[in-house]
Amino acid sequence: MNTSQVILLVEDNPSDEELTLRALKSYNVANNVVVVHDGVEALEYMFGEGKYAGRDTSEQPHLVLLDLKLPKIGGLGVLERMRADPRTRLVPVVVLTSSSQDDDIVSSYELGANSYVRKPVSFEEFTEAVRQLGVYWLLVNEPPPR
Amino acid sequence: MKFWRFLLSMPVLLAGGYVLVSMLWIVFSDRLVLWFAGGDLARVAAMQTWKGLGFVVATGVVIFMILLAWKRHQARATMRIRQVNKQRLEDHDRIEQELNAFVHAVSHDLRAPLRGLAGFSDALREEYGEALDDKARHYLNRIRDAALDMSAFIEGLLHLSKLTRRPLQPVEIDMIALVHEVMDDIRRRAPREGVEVNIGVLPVVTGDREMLHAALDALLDNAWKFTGKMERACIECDASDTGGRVVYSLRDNGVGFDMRFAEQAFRPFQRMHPRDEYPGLGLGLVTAERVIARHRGWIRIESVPDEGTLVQFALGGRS
Repeated sequence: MNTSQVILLVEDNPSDEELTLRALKSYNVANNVVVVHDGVEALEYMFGEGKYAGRDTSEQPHLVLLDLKLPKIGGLGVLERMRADPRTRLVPVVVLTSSSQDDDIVSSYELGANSYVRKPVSFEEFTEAVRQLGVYWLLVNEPPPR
Repeated sequence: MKFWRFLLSMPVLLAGGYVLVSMLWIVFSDRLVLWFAGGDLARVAAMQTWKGLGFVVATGVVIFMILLAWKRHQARATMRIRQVNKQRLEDHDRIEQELNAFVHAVSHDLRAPLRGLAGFSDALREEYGEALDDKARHYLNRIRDAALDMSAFIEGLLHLSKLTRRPLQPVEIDMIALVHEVMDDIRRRAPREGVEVNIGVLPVVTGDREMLHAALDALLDNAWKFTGKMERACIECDASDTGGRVVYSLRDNGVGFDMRFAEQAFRPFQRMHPRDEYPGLGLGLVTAERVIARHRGWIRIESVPDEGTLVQFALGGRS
């Protein structure tokens, strides 16, 4: 698998972060995972601001795994700003969250999420979901031209 | 008691008082007129005319004032009712908002720690499984199972609240088709041979399709589950018209339960049988009851241990 592809994981819960990383790594889906812990940090990474000032913003992640419930700016806010900016407009975003509330799902798709996945509580199912996501979005799916 | 209250009520007092005062006025004023006029009949007639006019004007003014006072009183009462209603609506909206926020929080925040529990106990077993003995692995399984159980409970509650809190979307429903559909789902979920399912004639009904699907699923799944250990399992579903209301009956010949505990049956997570014998969350009857209540109907259950259970329900309107 092409390990140069970057996944941006936006996740504030340390348990979920570790479990997601473990799942991604156990299937060698990606070795290149950037983890940010809130909405502001996610936007700073993508737009090369604040902590990530000077980062080459022409290099955008190949996939963003976005939690919805995040400190400061929530997942939906991040999504909205990503879709409004030409640099991140086309980056595939998978909402990976605990909630399966209809309004969360609808808002995510309305704001331009490419996929919505509910994190299963069972670790087996969770690992399988993350593996499938990695395989699909990094291997099967044809990404937008850069 | 009722009579006295009627006699002392405002309209009776007003009318009675009016008649009495008027009669006294006529008797005394006529004497007064005679005394003033001193026997001159032409003067008596003129004075009587003025007296009559004066009386009409005076009673007119009194009636006008009473009506005015009554109208003000009514307006104040209406205002009070409106205020109370407004307050209630506000309270209702606030509670609804709080409940939504609560459900949202449960949906988001309560599942994450469980994922941690289940996930890390699995990770521990995967990575250090060989270093652990059977007992330790057993404990790890218990931790994971407990986390998954709790997750299932949360899931069940969320599903229930989602199902029963949304606005009703009534459509015409072919109940026979719906029951067949639900039975097919159940057969797929828990395949089993040798169950006799008889579905009688069920009239078309107006109701919320998704909700009624869930209610029937809960009830028929119970029937399916609790006949699991019977040699000749039989599930019957029919309807009868009782006094203009269609009553649906679901009968099974399953394990049943003791009617002494019937009251508990409609409580969330309340079970009649051990979970390892008959799996489930204990939300079936609660779901059915909520859905039927939303349809302004009723549900009742009768059961005899080891003989079977009869569930009857009716929905609010006939179609």
